[in-house]
Amino acid sequence: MDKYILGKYVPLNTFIHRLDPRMKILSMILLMVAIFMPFPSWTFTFVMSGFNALIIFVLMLISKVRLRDIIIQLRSIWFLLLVLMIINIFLPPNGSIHIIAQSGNFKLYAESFMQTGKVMLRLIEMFGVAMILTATTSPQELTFGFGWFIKPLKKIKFPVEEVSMTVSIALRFIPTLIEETNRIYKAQSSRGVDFKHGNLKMKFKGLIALIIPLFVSAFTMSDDLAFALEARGYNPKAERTSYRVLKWSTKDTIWIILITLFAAGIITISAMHLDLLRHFFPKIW
Amino acid sequence: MNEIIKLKNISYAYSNTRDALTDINLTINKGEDISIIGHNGSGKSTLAKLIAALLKPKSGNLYFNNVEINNKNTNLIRDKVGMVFQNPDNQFIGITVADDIAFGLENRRIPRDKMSQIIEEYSKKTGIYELLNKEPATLSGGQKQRVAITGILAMSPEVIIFDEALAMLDPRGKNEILKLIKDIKKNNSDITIIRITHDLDEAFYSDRIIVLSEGKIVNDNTPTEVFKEEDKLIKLGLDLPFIVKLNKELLKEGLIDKAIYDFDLLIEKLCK
Repeated sequence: MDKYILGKYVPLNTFIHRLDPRMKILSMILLMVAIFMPFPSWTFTFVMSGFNALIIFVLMLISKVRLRDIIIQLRSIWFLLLVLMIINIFLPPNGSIHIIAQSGNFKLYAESFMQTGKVMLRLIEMFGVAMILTATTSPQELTFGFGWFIKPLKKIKFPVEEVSMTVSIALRFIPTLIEETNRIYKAQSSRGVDFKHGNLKMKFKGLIALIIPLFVSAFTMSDDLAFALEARGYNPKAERTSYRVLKWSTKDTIWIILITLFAAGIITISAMHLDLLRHFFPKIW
Repeated sequence: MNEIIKLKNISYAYSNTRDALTDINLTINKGEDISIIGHNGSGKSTLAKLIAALLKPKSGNLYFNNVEINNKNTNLIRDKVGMVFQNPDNQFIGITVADDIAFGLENRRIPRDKMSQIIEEYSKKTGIYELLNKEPATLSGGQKQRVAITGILAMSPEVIIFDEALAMLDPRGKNEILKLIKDIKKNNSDITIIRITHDLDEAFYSDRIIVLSEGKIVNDNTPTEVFKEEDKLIKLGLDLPFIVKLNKELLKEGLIDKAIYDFDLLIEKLCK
Protein backbone atom coordinates (compact mmCIF):
# COMPACT_ATOMS: atom_id res chain seq x y z
CA MET A 1 0.00 0.00 0.00
CA ASP A 2 2.92 2.33 0.59
CA LYS A 3 3.30 2.74 -3.14
CA TYR A 4 0.09 4.71 -3.39
CA ILE A 5 1.05 7.65 -1.27
CA LEU A 6 -0.48 10.18 -3.61
CA GLY A 7 -4.09 10.40 -2.64
CA LYS A 8 -3.70 8.54 0.60
CA TYR A 9 -5.51 10.00 3.57
CA VAL A 10 -3.45 10.36 6.72
CA PRO A 11 -5.85 10.44 9.66
CA LEU A 12 -4.24 13.08 11.84
CA ASN A 13 -5.86 16.01 13.53
CA THR A 14 -3.91 19.00 12.31
CA PHE A 15 -5.33 22.44 11.75
CA ILE A 16 -5.71 21.77 8.02
CA HIS A 17 -7.46 18.45 8.66
CA ARG A 18 -10.19 20.30 10.48
CA LEU A 19 -10.91 22.78 7.69
CA ASP A 20 -13.95 22.47 5.47
CA PRO A 21 -13.31 20.21 2.45
CA ARG A 22 -14.97 22.74 0.13
CA MET A 23 -12.53 25.39 1.18
CA LYS A 24 -9.64 22.96 0.70
CA ILE A 25 -10.78 22.02 -2.80
CA LEU A 26 -11.14 25.69 -3.75
CA SER A 27 -7.73 26.50 -2.28
CA MET A 28 -6.16 23.69 -4.24
CA ILE A 29 -7.56 25.05 -7.49
CA LEU A 30 -6.38 28.57 -6.65
CA LEU A 31 -2.90 27.40 -5.71
CA MET A 32 -2.62 25.33 -8.89
CA VAL A 33 -3.51 28.37 -10.97
CA ALA A 34 -0.88 30.37 -9.10
CA ILE A 35 1.72 27.67 -9.73
CA PHE A 36 1.14 27.71 -13.47
CA MET A 37 1.27 31.48 -13.97
CA PRO A 38 3.90 32.58 -16.55
CA PHE A 39 6.39 35.37 -15.90
CA PRO A 40 8.47 37.44 -18.32
CA SER A 41 12.04 36.52 -17.30
CA TRP A 42 13.69 33.30 -16.22
CA THR A 43 15.06 34.71 -13.01
CA PHE A 44 11.73 36.12 -12.05
CA THR A 45 10.00 32.85 -12.93
CA PHE A 46 12.28 30.94 -10.59
CA VAL A 47 11.94 33.52 -7.84
CA MET A 48 8.14 33.31 -8.04
CA SER A 49 8.27 29.53 -8.21
CA GLY A 50 10.43 29.55 -5.11
CA PHE A 51 7.93 31.84 -3.45
CA ASN A 52 5.10 29.41 -4.28
CA ALA A 53 7.22 26.53 -3.04
CA LEU A 54 7.79 28.35 0.24
CA ILE A 55 4.06 28.83 0.82
CA ILE A 56 3.36 25.19 -0.09
CA PHE A 57 6.18 24.07 2.17
CA VAL A 58 4.66 25.97 5.08
CA LEU A 59 1.29 24.34 4.37
CA MET A 60 3.03 20.96 4.26
CA LEU A 61 4.62 21.61 7.64
CA ILE A 62 1.23 22.48 9.15
CA SER A 63 -0.49 19.44 7.64
CA LYS A 64 2.48 17.14 8.40
CA VAL A 65 2.91 15.99 4.80
CA ARG A 66 6.50 14.88 4.34
CA LEU A 67 8.67 16.20 1.51
CA ARG A 68 10.05 12.69 1.12
CA ASP A 69 6.64 11.35 0.11
CA ILE A 70 6.43 13.92 -2.66
CA ILE A 71 9.91 13.07 -3.93
CA ILE A 72 8.83 9.41 -4.02
CA GLN A 73 5.97 10.42 -6.29
CA LEU A 74 8.47 11.96 -8.69
CA ARG A 75 9.96 8.53 -9.27
CA SER A 76 6.96 7.74 -11.39
CA ILE A 77 7.49 10.74 -13.66
CA TRP A 78 11.28 10.98 -13.98
CA PHE A 79 11.04 9.34 -17.38
CA LEU A 80 8.57 11.98 -18.48
CA LEU A 81 10.97 14.68 -17.32
CA LEU A 82 13.79 13.03 -19.25
CA VAL A 83 11.73 13.02 -22.44
CA LEU A 84 10.82 16.63 -21.78
CA MET A 85 14.47 17.54 -21.39
CA ILE A 86 15.39 15.85 -24.68
CA ILE A 87 12.57 17.64 -26.46
CA ASN A 88 13.69 20.92 -24.94
CA ILE A 89 17.27 20.34 -26.03
CA PHE A 90 16.37 19.64 -29.64
CA LEU A 91 13.52 22.12 -29.82
CA PRO A 92 14.72 24.97 -27.59
CA PRO A 93 12.04 27.25 -26.14
CA ASN A 94 11.24 30.45 -28.03
CA GLY A 95 13.70 33.25 -27.53
CA SER A 96 16.60 31.08 -26.41
CA ILE A 97 19.79 33.08 -26.62
CA HIS A 98 22.30 31.65 -24.14
CA ILE A 99 24.40 29.14 -25.99
CA ILE A 100 26.34 26.78 -23.75
CA ALA A 101 27.94 24.60 -26.39
CA GLN A 102 27.94 24.38 -30.15
CA SER A 103 28.78 21.57 -32.51
CA GLY A 104 28.28 22.27 -36.18
CA ASN A 105 24.74 23.34 -36.73
CA PHE A 106 23.55 22.14 -33.32
CA LYS A 107 23.38 24.65 -30.51
CA LEU A 108 22.87 23.71 -26.85
CA TYR A 109 20.93 26.44 -25.08
CA ALA A 110 20.85 27.12 -21.34
CA GLU A 111 17.13 27.81 -21.71
CA SER A 112 16.48 24.16 -22.50
CA PHE A 113 17.58 23.20 -19.02
CA MET A 114 15.82 26.10 -17.40
CA GLN A 115 12.58 25.14 -19.11
CA THR A 116 12.90 21.57 -17.83
CA GLY A 117 13.73 22.85 -14.37
CA LYS A 118 10.71 25.11 -14.43
CA VAL A 119 8.37 22.27 -15.37
CA MET A 120 9.90 20.02 -12.74
CA LEU A 121 9.45 22.65 -10.03
CA ARG A 122 5.87 23.17 -11.06
CA LEU A 123 5.19 19.43 -10.96
CA ILE A 124 6.70 19.10 -7.50
CA GLU A 125 4.59 22.00 -6.32
CA MET A 126 1.50 20.54 -7.92
CA PHE A 127 2.10 17.18 -6.25
CA GLY A 128 2.62 19.01 -2.99
CA VAL A 129 -0.70 20.81 -3.23
CA ALA A 130 -2.59 17.68 -4.26
CA MET A 131 -1.03 15.70 -1.45
CA ILE A 132 -1.88 18.31 1.15
CA LEU A 133 -5.49 18.04 0.02
CA THR A 134 -5.72 14.25 -0.05
CA ALA A 135 -3.66 13.67 3.09
CA THR A 136 -5.79 15.99 5.16
CA THR A 137 -9.21 15.24 3.70
CA SER A 138 -10.81 11.82 3.96
CA PRO A 139 -12.27 10.38 0.74
CA GLN A 140 -15.69 10.72 2.28
CA GLU A 141 -15.18 14.42 2.94
CA LEU A 142 -13.81 14.89 -0.56
CA THR A 143 -16.89 13.25 -2.03
CA PHE A 144 -19.05 15.50 0.09
CA GLY A 145 -17.09 18.55 -0.94
CA PHE A 146 -17.27 17.74 -4.65
CA GLY A 147 -20.92 16.81 -4.20
CA TRP A 148 -21.55 20.29 -2.91
CA PHE A 149 -19.82 21.87 -5.90
CA ILE A 150 -21.84 19.88 -8.42
CA LYS A 151 -25.14 20.54 -6.64
CA PRO A 152 -26.18 23.27 -9.10
CA LEU A 153 -26.15 20.58 -11.82
CA LYS A 154 -29.34 19.25 -10.27
CA LYS A 155 -31.12 22.02 -12.14
CA ILE A 156 -30.24 20.35 -15.43
CA LYS A 157 -31.44 17.02 -13.98
CA PHE A 158 -27.98 15.66 -13.31
CA PRO A 159 -28.35 12.93 -10.62
CA VAL A 160 -26.08 14.62 -8.06
CA GLU A 161 -27.16 12.56 -5.03
CA GLU A 162 -26.99 9.24 -6.85
CA VAL A 163 -23.51 10.03 -8.11
CA SER A 164 -22.34 11.08 -4.64
CA MET A 165 -23.82 7.89 -3.19
CA THR A 166 -22.20 5.72 -5.85
CA VAL A 167 -18.82 7.35 -5.34
CA SER A 168 -18.99 6.99 -1.58
CA ILE A 169 -19.99 3.33 -1.81
CA ALA A 170 -17.17 2.74 -4.29
CA LEU A 171 -14.74 4.33 -1.84
CA ARG A 172 -16.13 2.23 0.97
CA PHE A 173 -15.54 -0.99 -1.00
CA ILE A 174 -11.96 -0.31 -2.11
CA PRO A 175 -10.40 -1.84 1.04
CA THR A 176 -12.82 -4.78 0.87
CA LEU A 177 -11.85 -5.44 -2.75
CA ILE A 178 -8.15 -5.18 -1.96
CA GLU A 179 -8.65 -7.72 0.83
CA GLU A 180 -10.53 -9.97 -1.58
CA THR A 181 -7.75 -9.62 -4.16
CA ASN A 182 -5.18 -10.68 -1.59
CA ARG A 183 -7.29 -13.64 -0.61
CA ILE A 184 -7.69 -14.81 -4.21
CA TYR A 185 -3.98 -14.19 -4.83
CA LYS A 186 -3.09 -16.47 -1.94
CA ALA A 187 -5.67 -19.10 -2.92
CA GLN A 188 -4.44 -19.22 -6.50
CA SER A 189 -0.78 -19.23 -5.42
CA SER A 190 -1.48 -22.22 -3.21
CA ARG A 191 -2.89 -23.98 -6.25
CA GLY A 192 0.27 -23.40 -8.17
CA VAL A 193 -0.37 -20.20 -10.10
CA ASP A 194 2.92 -18.37 -10.29
CA PHE A 195 2.43 -14.62 -10.29
CA LYS A 196 6.03 -13.60 -9.82
CA HIS A 197 8.15 -15.65 -12.22
CA GLY A 198 8.07 -16.61 -15.85
CA ASN A 199 7.69 -14.63 -19.02
CA LEU A 200 5.07 -12.09 -19.93
CA LYS A 201 2.68 -14.70 -21.27
CA MET A 202 2.78 -16.70 -18.06
CA LYS A 203 2.33 -13.59 -15.98
CA PHE A 204 -0.66 -12.66 -18.07
CA LYS A 205 -2.12 -16.11 -17.47
CA GLY A 206 -1.62 -15.60 -13.75
CA LEU A 207 -3.38 -12.29 -13.99
CA ILE A 208 -6.41 -13.95 -15.56
CA ALA A 209 -6.49 -16.43 -12.69
CA LEU A 210 -6.71 -13.41 -10.41
CA ILE A 211 -9.10 -11.20 -12.33
CA ILE A 212 -11.85 -13.68 -13.15
CA PRO A 213 -12.51 -14.82 -9.56
CA LEU A 214 -12.25 -11.20 -8.50
CA PHE A 215 -14.98 -10.24 -10.95
CA VAL A 216 -17.18 -13.10 -9.82
CA SER A 217 -16.78 -12.07 -6.23
CA ALA A 218 -17.37 -8.42 -7.05
CA PHE A 219 -20.66 -9.35 -8.68
CA THR A 220 -21.73 -11.39 -5.65
CA MET A 221 -20.77 -8.44 -3.52
CA SER A 222 -22.82 -5.99 -5.53
CA ASP A 223 -25.78 -8.37 -5.48
CA ASP A 224 -25.62 -8.59 -1.69
CA LEU A 225 -25.14 -4.86 -1.48
CA ALA A 226 -28.19 -4.20 -3.63
CA PHE A 227 -30.32 -6.29 -1.27
CA ALA A 228 -28.82 -4.58 1.76
CA LEU A 229 -29.51 -1.13 0.31
CA GLU A 230 -33.08 -2.05 -0.50
CA ALA A 231 -33.72 -3.76 2.83
CA ARG A 232 -32.71 -0.58 4.59
CA GLY A 233 -35.14 1.49 2.63
CA TYR A 234 -32.85 3.17 0.13
CA ASN A 235 -34.70 4.77 -2.72
CA PRO A 236 -32.51 6.73 -5.11
CA LYS A 237 -35.44 8.82 -6.28
CA ALA A 238 -36.57 9.84 -2.81
CA GLU A 239 -35.38 12.74 -0.73
CA ARG A 240 -32.96 11.79 2.07
CA THR A 241 -31.56 13.60 5.05
CA SER A 242 -27.84 13.61 5.68
CA TYR A 243 -25.97 12.58 8.80
CA ARG A 244 -22.77 14.21 7.66
CA VAL A 245 -23.00 17.92 7.28
CA LEU A 246 -20.37 20.31 6.08
CA LYS A 247 -19.71 23.11 8.50
CA TRP A 248 -18.21 26.28 7.13
CA SER A 249 -16.63 28.23 9.96
CA THR A 250 -14.92 31.59 10.34
CA LYS A 251 -11.49 30.04 10.04
CA ASP A 252 -12.46 28.67 6.64
CA THR A 253 -13.48 32.15 5.55
CA ILE A 254 -10.19 33.60 6.79
CA TRP A 255 -8.19 30.93 5.00
CA ILE A 256 -10.01 31.23 1.73
CA ILE A 257 -9.49 35.01 1.83
CA LEU A 258 -5.77 34.58 2.49
CA ILE A 259 -5.34 32.02 -0.28
CA THR A 260 -7.42 34.07 -2.70
CA LEU A 261 -5.31 37.16 -1.95
CA PHE A 262 -2.15 35.16 -2.51
CA ALA A 263 -3.35 33.69 -5.80
CA ALA A 264 -4.79 37.01 -6.93
CA GLY A 265 -1.45 38.66 -6.18
CA ILE A 266 0.47 36.16 -8.27
CA ILE A 267 -2.05 36.37 -11.11
CA THR A 268 -1.91 40.17 -11.10
CA ILE A 269 1.88 40.21 -11.17
CA SER A 270 1.82 37.75 -14.03
CA ALA A 271 -0.83 39.71 -15.91
CA MET A 272 1.19 42.91 -15.62
CA HIS A 273 3.90 41.32 -17.78
CA LEU A 274 6.36 43.22 -15.69
CA ASP A 275 9.67 41.92 -14.49
CA LEU A 276 9.40 43.27 -10.97
CA LEU A 277 12.94 42.28 -10.11
CA ARG A 278 14.39 44.40 -12.88
CA HIS A 279 11.94 47.13 -11.99
CA PHE A 280 12.91 47.37 -8.36
CA PHE A 281 16.52 46.24 -8.43
CA PRO A 282 17.80 47.50 -11.78
CA LYS A 283 21.39 47.61 -10.52
CA ILE A 284 21.68 43.94 -9.78
CA TRP A 285 20.28 42.75 -13.06
CA MET B 1 -51.65 -13.99 19.46
CA ASN B 2 -51.63 -11.49 16.61
CA GLU B 3 -50.28 -12.64 13.32
CA ILE B 4 -47.69 -10.28 11.89
CA ILE B 5 -46.60 -12.01 8.71
CA LYS B 6 -48.65 -14.35 6.60
CA LEU B 7 -47.60 -16.09 3.42
CA LYS B 8 -50.38 -17.55 1.35
CA ASN B 9 -49.63 -20.06 -1.44
CA ILE B 10 -46.35 -18.35 -2.25
CA SER B 11 -44.16 -19.74 -5.02
CA TYR B 12 -40.93 -18.38 -6.37
CA ALA B 13 -38.61 -19.31 -9.22
CA TYR B 14 -35.21 -17.86 -10.14
CA SER B 15 -35.54 -19.23 -13.65
CA ASN B 16 -38.17 -21.11 -15.56
CA THR B 17 -36.68 -24.52 -14.94
CA ARG B 18 -37.53 -25.21 -11.33
CA ASP B 19 -39.34 -23.50 -8.49
CA ALA B 20 -37.11 -22.43 -5.64
CA LEU B 21 -40.16 -22.36 -3.40
CA THR B 22 -43.50 -24.06 -4.02
CA ASP B 23 -46.79 -23.20 -2.43
CA ILE B 24 -45.57 -21.91 0.90
CA ASN B 25 -48.20 -21.25 3.56
CA LEU B 26 -46.84 -19.79 6.73
CA THR B 27 -48.13 -17.61 9.52
CA ILE B 28 -45.75 -15.91 11.91
CA ASN B 29 -47.10 -14.38 15.08
CA LYS B 30 -46.04 -11.18 16.78
CA GLY B 31 -43.24 -11.72 19.27
CA GLU B 32 -42.32 -15.18 18.04
CA ASP B 33 -38.73 -16.38 17.83
CA ILE B 34 -38.72 -18.69 14.88
CA SER B 35 -36.02 -20.58 13.02
CA ILE B 36 -36.15 -21.66 9.42
CA ILE B 37 -33.77 -24.55 8.81
CA GLY B 38 -32.86 -26.63 5.81
CA HIS B 39 -29.84 -27.82 3.88
CA ASN B 40 -28.12 -25.68 1.23
CA GLY B 41 -30.42 -24.94 -1.66
CA SER B 42 -33.57 -25.75 0.27
CA GLY B 43 -34.83 -22.24 -0.39
CA LYS B 44 -34.52 -20.81 3.08
CA SER B 45 -32.67 -17.65 2.05
CA THR B 46 -35.16 -17.11 -0.75
CA LEU B 47 -37.95 -17.43 1.77
CA ALA B 48 -36.32 -14.80 3.96
CA LYS B 49 -36.03 -12.39 1.04
CA LEU B 50 -39.66 -12.99 0.14
CA ILE B 51 -40.73 -12.22 3.71
CA ALA B 52 -38.72 -9.00 3.57
CA ALA B 53 -40.33 -8.21 0.19
CA LEU B 54 -36.89 -8.05 -1.43
CA LEU B 55 -38.07 -10.57 -3.98
CA LYS B 56 -41.44 -10.57 -5.64
CA PRO B 57 -43.23 -13.94 -5.50
CA LYS B 58 -44.20 -15.64 -8.75
CA SER B 59 -47.60 -16.32 -7.27
CA GLY B 60 -49.28 -16.08 -3.91
CA ASN B 61 -49.80 -13.28 -1.42
CA LEU B 62 -47.81 -11.77 1.38
CA TYR B 63 -49.57 -10.06 4.28
CA PHE B 64 -47.91 -7.84 6.85
CA ASN B 65 -50.04 -6.85 9.84
CA ASN B 66 -53.04 -8.06 7.84
CA VAL B 67 -52.30 -5.74 4.92
CA GLU B 68 -51.58 -7.33 1.58
CA ILE B 69 -48.20 -6.24 0.27
CA ASN B 70 -47.97 -5.23 -3.38
CA ASN B 71 -45.64 -3.10 -5.49
CA LYS B 72 -46.93 0.13 -4.05
CA ASN B 73 -46.75 -0.51 -0.34
CA THR B 74 -43.45 -2.35 0.13
CA ASN B 75 -42.43 0.57 2.32
CA LEU B 76 -44.74 -0.87 5.02
CA ILE B 77 -42.36 -3.80 5.19
CA ARG B 78 -39.19 -1.72 4.72
CA ASP B 79 -40.06 0.39 7.73
CA LYS B 80 -40.81 -2.48 10.04
CA VAL B 81 -38.75 -5.45 8.90
CA GLY B 82 -34.97 -5.36 9.29
CA MET B 83 -32.65 -7.91 7.79
CA VAL B 84 -29.14 -8.93 8.80
CA PHE B 85 -27.33 -10.71 5.97
CA GLN B 86 -24.71 -13.40 5.99
CA ASN B 87 -21.68 -11.51 4.75
CA PRO B 88 -20.69 -8.82 7.27
CA ASP B 89 -18.73 -6.87 4.65
CA ASN B 90 -21.22 -6.73 1.83
CA GLN B 91 -23.92 -5.08 3.90
CA PHE B 92 -21.70 -2.42 5.42
CA ILE B 93 -22.67 0.70 3.52
CA GLY B 94 -21.25 3.61 5.50
CA ILE B 95 -17.61 4.68 5.47
CA THR B 96 -17.62 4.57 9.26
CA VAL B 97 -19.74 2.75 11.84
CA ALA B 98 -21.75 5.90 12.60
CA ASP B 99 -22.41 6.49 8.89
CA ASP B 100 -23.59 2.94 8.49
CA ILE B 101 -26.05 3.17 11.36
CA ALA B 102 -27.20 6.51 9.96
CA PHE B 103 -27.90 5.08 6.51
CA GLY B 104 -31.34 3.69 7.29
CA LEU B 105 -32.24 6.80 9.25
CA GLU B 106 -31.23 9.03 6.35
CA ASN B 107 -33.51 7.02 4.10
CA ARG B 108 -36.35 7.70 6.51
CA ARG B 109 -35.60 11.43 6.47
CA ILE B 110 -34.88 11.66 10.20
CA PRO B 111 -33.53 15.14 11.01
CA ARG B 112 -29.84 15.28 11.78
CA ASP B 113 -30.03 16.20 15.49
CA LYS B 114 -32.36 13.34 16.18
CA MET B 115 -30.16 11.01 14.15
CA SER B 116 -27.09 11.62 16.33
CA GLN B 117 -29.23 11.06 19.39
CA ILE B 118 -30.58 7.75 18.05
CA ILE B 119 -27.13 6.58 16.97
CA GLU B 120 -25.71 7.33 20.40
CA GLU B 121 -28.55 5.61 22.19
CA TYR B 122 -28.52 2.39 20.19
CA SER B 123 -24.75 2.10 19.84
CA LYS B 124 -24.53 2.20 23.62
CA LYS B 125 -27.17 -0.51 23.86
CA THR B 126 -25.29 -2.86 21.54
CA GLY B 127 -21.89 -1.97 22.95
CA ILE B 128 -20.35 -0.35 19.89
CA TYR B 129 -20.34 3.26 21.09
CA GLU B 130 -16.52 3.29 21.18
CA LEU B 131 -16.37 2.09 17.58
CA LEU B 132 -18.55 4.82 16.04
CA ASN B 133 -15.69 6.50 14.16
CA LYS B 134 -14.03 3.29 13.01
CA GLU B 135 -13.89 2.09 9.44
CA PRO B 136 -15.20 -1.37 8.55
CA ALA B 137 -11.74 -2.65 7.56
CA THR B 138 -10.62 -2.32 11.18
CA LEU B 139 -13.55 -4.27 12.65
CA SER B 140 -13.98 -8.00 13.29
CA GLY B 141 -16.82 -9.94 11.68
CA GLY B 142 -18.73 -10.01 14.96
CA GLN B 143 -18.38 -6.27 15.36
CA LYS B 144 -19.59 -5.68 11.81
CA GLN B 145 -22.69 -7.81 12.43
CA ARG B 146 -23.22 -5.87 15.63
CA VAL B 147 -23.15 -2.67 13.58
CA ALA B 148 -25.67 -4.16 11.13
CA ILE B 149 -27.96 -5.09 14.02
CA THR B 150 -27.60 -1.63 15.55
CA GLY B 151 -28.52 -0.04 12.23
CA ILE B 152 -31.69 -2.11 12.22
CA LEU B 153 -32.58 -1.55 15.88
CA ALA B 154 -32.20 2.19 15.32
CA MET B 155 -35.20 2.00 13.02
CA SER B 156 -37.29 0.34 15.78
CA PRO B 157 -38.40 -2.64 13.70
CA GLU B 158 -41.17 -5.10 14.51
CA VAL B 159 -39.42 -8.00 12.80
CA ILE B 160 -35.72 -8.80 12.47
CA ILE B 161 -34.63 -11.47 10.02
CA PHE B 162 -31.20 -13.00 10.53
CA ASP B 163 -30.29 -14.54 7.19
CA GLU B 164 -27.42 -16.87 8.16
CA ALA B 165 -26.06 -13.92 10.10
CA LEU B 166 -23.76 -16.11 12.18
CA ALA B 167 -22.47 -18.35 9.42
CA MET B 168 -19.34 -16.34 8.65
CA LEU B 169 -18.37 -15.56 12.23
CA ASP B 170 -15.80 -17.21 14.47
CA PRO B 171 -17.13 -18.96 17.61
CA ARG B 172 -16.55 -15.92 19.74
CA GLY B 173 -18.35 -13.57 17.39
CA LYS B 174 -21.11 -16.12 17.08
CA ASN B 175 -21.67 -16.26 20.83
CA GLU B 176 -21.58 -12.49 21.10
CA ILE B 177 -24.28 -12.10 18.48
CA LEU B 178 -26.39 -14.90 19.94
CA LYS B 179 -26.28 -13.14 23.27
CA LEU B 180 -27.15 -9.85 21.65
CA ILE B 181 -30.21 -11.39 19.96
CA LYS B 182 -31.24 -12.81 23.32
CA ASP B 183 -30.91 -9.37 24.92
CA ILE B 184 -32.95 -7.74 22.15
CA LYS B 185 -35.70 -10.24 22.76
CA LYS B 186 -35.50 -9.75 26.51
CA ASN B 187 -35.78 -5.97 26.25
CA ASN B 188 -38.65 -6.07 23.80
CA SER B 189 -40.79 -9.18 23.90
CA ASP B 190 -42.98 -7.83 21.08
CA ILE B 191 -40.17 -8.05 18.56
CA THR B 192 -40.40 -10.95 16.14
CA ILE B 193 -37.17 -12.79 15.38
CA ILE B 194 -36.78 -14.93 12.28
CA ARG B 195 -33.54 -16.88 12.05
CA ILE B 196 -32.53 -18.47 8.78
CA THR B 197 -29.86 -20.90 9.80
CA HIS B 198 -28.26 -24.27 9.37
CA ASP B 199 -26.79 -24.08 12.84
CA LEU B 200 -29.12 -26.43 14.68
CA ASP B 201 -27.78 -25.41 18.08
CA GLU B 202 -28.99 -21.90 17.34
CA ALA B 203 -32.33 -23.12 16.03
CA PHE B 204 -32.92 -25.25 19.10
CA TYR B 205 -33.39 -22.23 21.33
CA SER B 206 -36.13 -20.60 19.27
CA ASP B 207 -39.85 -21.09 19.95
CA ARG B 208 -40.63 -22.75 16.68
CA ILE B 209 -38.78 -24.45 13.88
CA ILE B 210 -39.74 -24.61 10.24
CA VAL B 211 -37.95 -27.24 8.20
CA LEU B 212 -37.58 -26.57 4.50
CA SER B 213 -36.61 -29.07 1.88
CA GLU B 214 -36.66 -28.73 -1.89
CA GLY B 215 -38.62 -25.50 -1.59
CA LYS B 216 -41.38 -26.95 0.55
CA ILE B 217 -42.18 -26.78 4.25
CA VAL B 218 -41.80 -30.31 5.54
CA ASN B 219 -42.12 -29.66 9.24
CA ASP B 220 -43.39 -26.83 11.42
CA ASN B 221 -43.27 -27.49 15.13
CA THR B 222 -41.57 -26.78 18.44
CA PRO B 223 -37.83 -27.65 18.61
CA THR B 224 -38.32 -30.65 20.91
CA GLU B 225 -40.90 -32.12 18.57
CA VAL B 226 -38.86 -31.42 15.43
CA PHE B 227 -35.74 -33.02 16.86
CA LYS B 228 -37.63 -36.10 17.99
CA GLU B 229 -37.80 -37.23 14.42
CA GLU B 230 -34.11 -37.84 13.99
CA ASP B 231 -34.32 -40.14 10.99
CA LYS B 232 -36.36 -37.65 9.06
CA LEU B 233 -33.83 -34.89 9.73
CA ILE B 234 -30.89 -37.02 8.70
CA LYS B 235 -32.67 -37.89 5.49
CA LEU B 236 -32.93 -34.16 4.79
CA GLY B 237 -29.20 -33.72 5.27
CA LEU B 238 -29.63 -32.20 8.71
CA ASP B 239 -28.43 -33.39 12.08
CA LEU B 240 -29.40 -33.06 15.73
CA PRO B 241 -28.22 -30.21 17.92
CA PHE B 242 -25.45 -31.06 20.35
CA ILE B 243 -27.66 -30.74 23.42
CA VAL B 244 -30.24 -33.14 21.98
CA LYS B 245 -27.56 -35.69 21.09
CA LEU B 246 -26.07 -35.36 24.56
CA ASN B 247 -29.41 -35.90 26.24
CA LYS B 248 -30.07 -38.93 24.07
CA GLU B 249 -26.79 -40.54 25.05
CA LEU B 250 -27.29 -39.73 28.71
CA LEU B 251 -30.78 -41.21 28.66
CA LYS B 252 -29.43 -44.32 26.95
CA GLU B 253 -26.80 -44.70 29.62
CA GLY B 254 -29.41 -44.14 32.30
CA LEU B 255 -27.57 -41.16 33.78
CA ILE B 256 -30.68 -38.98 33.65
CA ASP B 257 -34.30 -40.04 33.65
CA LYS B 258 -35.68 -37.08 31.73
CA ALA B 259 -34.22 -34.94 28.95
CA ILE B 260 -32.91 -31.56 30.16
CA TYR B 261 -32.27 -29.03 27.41
CA ASP B 262 -30.65 -26.36 29.51
CA PHE B 263 -26.87 -26.72 29.80
CA ASP B 264 -26.62 -25.26 33.28
CA LEU B 265 -29.44 -27.37 34.66
CA LEU B 266 -28.02 -30.45 32.99
CA ILE B 267 -24.59 -29.89 34.49
CA GLU B 268 -26.16 -29.32 37.88
CA LYS B 269 -28.14 -32.53 37.60
CA LEU B 270 -25.10 -34.54 36.53
CA CYS B 271 -22.93 -33.18 39.32
CA LYS B 272 -25.40 -34.15 41.99
